[in-house]
Amino acid sequence: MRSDWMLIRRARDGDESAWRELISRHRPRLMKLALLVSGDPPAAEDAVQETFVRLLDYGEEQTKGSFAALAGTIVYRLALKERLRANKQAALEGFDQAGDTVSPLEAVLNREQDRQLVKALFALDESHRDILILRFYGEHDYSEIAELTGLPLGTVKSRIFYAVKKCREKMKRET
Amino acid sequence: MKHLNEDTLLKLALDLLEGEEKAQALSHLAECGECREAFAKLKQDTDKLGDFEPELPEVRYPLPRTRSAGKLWLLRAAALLLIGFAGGVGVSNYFQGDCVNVLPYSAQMRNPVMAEDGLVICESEALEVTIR
Ligand SMILES: [Zn+2]
Repeated sequence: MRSDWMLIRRARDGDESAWRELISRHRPRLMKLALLVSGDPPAAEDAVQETFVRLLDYGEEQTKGSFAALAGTIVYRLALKERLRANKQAALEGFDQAGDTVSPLEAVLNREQDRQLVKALFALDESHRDILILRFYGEHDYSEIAELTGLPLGTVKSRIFYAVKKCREKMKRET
Repeated sequence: MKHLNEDTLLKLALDLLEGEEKAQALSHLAECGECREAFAKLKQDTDKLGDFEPELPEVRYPLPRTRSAGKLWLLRAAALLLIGFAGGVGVSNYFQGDCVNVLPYSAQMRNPVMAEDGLVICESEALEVTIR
């Protein structure tokens, strides 16, 4: 199998099949991450597309972690930016985002299991939810999550524990 | 023999235990069927958190032309732009959604523009137009 870095190099040289392969390899996971962070399908799609464009600027030599973690980092930052923008907008318009309103994510959920997961995740506050999302969809280890979020490692670990515990309880209650 | 409590099992599942604590938990698990069963159940629950399967529409992202890309893109872009400027006559080998970039820098290559016939072209400046 051709490595991700090789595919990026080829894509940079205009090889469209390499580009498509890279996208089919990584888009599903990155979309999940972006959807859960932004809570909004169009914003997630934009973030993921932009992530692929930005990845063209990277080479293996200037990156510490894996390609997957780098892609996760970029998409997380972009999706977070979208969320902050949307939160600000909502605050200006006087909406309460944290309420039990129907999530725009509903449109892309087909399985009952996913609805429950989204409900449980969005019941967490953002600072806990993000850590969980990064742990399960970002391909980052705990120290990379600490670096990405600017939190001490111990805080990351206690938040992931608490977030998973809460989510699990909520999902159990609902089944 | 004291069983492992749920928090310890959860920490183990999330790889949050270290050193002595981890070693003790693992050795207990190795000899206690009851805790192994509890651990397996808990693992199922945590795996569900990583099993999100939303519906993803098929989307084809344009490959931006980058500095090192070959001349081919430029040629295609020039042809496409001509078609676009000529009023959207749909004679080309491009598929709907295809995007051709003609800028020299990838960072400036977002903002595709939808032409009338469904073709996507990208905002262009600094065009070196060469026609086949
Ligand atoms: Zn036991």
